[in-house]
Amino acid sequence: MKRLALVSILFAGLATVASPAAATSIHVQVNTAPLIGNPAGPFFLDFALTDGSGTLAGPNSVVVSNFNFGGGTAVGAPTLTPGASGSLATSVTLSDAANGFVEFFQQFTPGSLLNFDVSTTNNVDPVQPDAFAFAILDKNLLNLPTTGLGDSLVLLNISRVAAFQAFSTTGSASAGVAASAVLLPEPGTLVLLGSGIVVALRRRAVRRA
Amino acid sequence: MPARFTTVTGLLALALGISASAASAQSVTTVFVIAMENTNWAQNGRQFTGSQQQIFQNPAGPWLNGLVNGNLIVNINGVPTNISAQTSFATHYHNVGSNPTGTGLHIHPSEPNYIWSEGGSNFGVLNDNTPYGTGGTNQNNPNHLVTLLTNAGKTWMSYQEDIDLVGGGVNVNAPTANSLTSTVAAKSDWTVPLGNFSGTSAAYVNPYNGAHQYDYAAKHNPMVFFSDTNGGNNQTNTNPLRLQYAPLQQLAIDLANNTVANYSWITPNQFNDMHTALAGSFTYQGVTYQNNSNTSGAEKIAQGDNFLSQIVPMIMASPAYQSGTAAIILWWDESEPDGTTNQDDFTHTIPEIVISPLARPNVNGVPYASTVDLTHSSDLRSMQKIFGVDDSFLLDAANAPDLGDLFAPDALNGPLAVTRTGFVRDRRNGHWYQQVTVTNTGTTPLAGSVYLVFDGLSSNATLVNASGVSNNPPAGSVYMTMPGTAGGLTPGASAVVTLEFINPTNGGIVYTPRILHGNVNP
Repeated sequence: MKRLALVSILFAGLATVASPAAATSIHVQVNTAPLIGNPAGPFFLDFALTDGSGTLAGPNSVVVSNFNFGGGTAVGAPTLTPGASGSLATSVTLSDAANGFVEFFQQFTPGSLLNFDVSTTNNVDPVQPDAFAFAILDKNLLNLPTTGLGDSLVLLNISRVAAFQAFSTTGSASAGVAASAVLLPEPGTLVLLGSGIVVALRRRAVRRA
Repeated sequence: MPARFTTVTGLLALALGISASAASAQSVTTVFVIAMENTNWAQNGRQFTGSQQQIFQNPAGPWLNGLVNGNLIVNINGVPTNISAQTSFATHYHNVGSNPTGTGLHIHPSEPNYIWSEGGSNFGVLNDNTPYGTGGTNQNNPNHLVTLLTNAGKTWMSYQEDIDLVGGGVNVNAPTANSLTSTVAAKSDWTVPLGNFSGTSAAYVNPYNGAHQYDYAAKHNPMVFFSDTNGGNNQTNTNPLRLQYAPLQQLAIDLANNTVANYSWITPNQFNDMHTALAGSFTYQGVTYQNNSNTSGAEKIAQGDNFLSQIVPMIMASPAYQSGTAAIILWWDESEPDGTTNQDDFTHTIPEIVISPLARPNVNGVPYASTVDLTHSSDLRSMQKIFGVDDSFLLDAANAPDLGDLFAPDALNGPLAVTRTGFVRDRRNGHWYQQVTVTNTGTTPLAGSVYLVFDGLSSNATLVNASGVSNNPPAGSVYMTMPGTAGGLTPGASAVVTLEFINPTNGGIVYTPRILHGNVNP
């Protein structure tokens, strides 16, 4: 019975922590080891949100949070365009409600693995999707070349169902930096799973009794 | 690891089910054309008096004017629905062959316009004769729309009001004088309606206007003028194509059973299509319109308005329409003189109204009014695109803009579905990038090459890797040849291209993708 209560509390807690406004959340992991001591540095993390319609229809906001630099660290102050706020020390927010192109970048010292989460609203732009892109910039504030669209490492098209892709770097200077992205569970999914487990454990307890 | 933990992990992975769906717009798959007659949308003089009045702002057309004014509430499947929200219309739709000063072709009377809607030409016909008999206008020419549809595995149906009803005489659709009834004949008795018939019969009550007058005219039935779709000069029930022509009563049955064709042509009788004023008078929404020289124009409009107010909601309530990819096109055949300037100048416009979930969205709460110069060739071109039979456009359809301005982006791309990603700006050159995928979602191969035309591209953006500037109407847009499509696209196959735009202001980039393919000069 003690275990039952523990599981219930765990899932209730998870459901509470997850933001109810975020319709899509992904977790991103990037192998940044090839950048350690790389002469193309210092490097910068770059996040951009682009309005799809060009008319600011279907505005969306993106929150990037839970940064873990895997032995590295955030450095200095960020550069922000209107619609961007926050820093790598806490979290970054991008909103295209009033600006069609919103960008954030800030220097970081690479560690072995970079981890962070991305949460977006899912307002549908009626013309073409809004897009969130993540890239790493070199010391000249230019994207490291990648296999992705516009030299992105992660591209997330914001629609009713989020479609995202992760890529890796190309070129000799910074080869081997690879990103991966996985979908994070929605709060409703967690509650559902938690409820199922509680029921399963209760049945098991009843059988044992 | 405990077995229970493994199970939970597995459940979690199953529930999360990573999805990577693409954002793809929908295309029209089902079309209903309702063919109306002899009424201008706007004209110079005698706009609301006499025997030839305009529809726009005419009190005798409250349903049509409510539709375009943005406030038409109709009960659809028990739900009050503002159908204006699914409406767009043309304000510059002209008689085929017209020009601004009226010195172009003069394609009249009705029949050549109906033939044009099928073949992109009147083929020299300038009369209202029936296809066979004296002065017969039958065309031995397979190059017309519904034959292309049949060859591509698409279906079509011509619904004609007053045909296939029980009456006197040996064959249906050739009734003896004033003998028609309202009873639909057995399907085994249906024939191809090659001839005209009209009259008055107590046993006939029109379900829309309540009158005893009936009037079917072959001149308003476009498919009946082509040998390969009329089955030859055979007006008996042995004609192999007789079931391509159905009484209007059958439309309700086909809608309810969700068995409508891809392309349905619907012709009301000559009273309900605004062609002819009913004898005596017609009362509509509490107003009685007299059939006299001063008000017969209003009476005709009221009759047609009344008909449309009943049949359009019936179509909209159907599963075919509710699927979200159907379009109803209210089509009129020709411009009419108003006693002022030439009826074939640009001051005389013909109505053209689209009702569809894929119609161009309202602007400021009212239906979008297109000012693109359109003709019947525009409709034909659009049907070819919608149904993927556009390897080569039919005659004048090659020269006309399509109806794309009246629809949401991608709606006319037919089986060629366009999927666009969002934009990404690359700091290496400041350019913006987007990926576009074109997929053949149909069941037949489509000829190459496939061209992506960027209509209305934002002035702040320049496409770096454009293949050229389109000559295809509307000309002047940049286009790109989709790589790897020279040999066409087989069903299910896709072509992908990465677009690169110079966008120095970082402003929004907007365009309407238009797809061309096959034997076209892009």
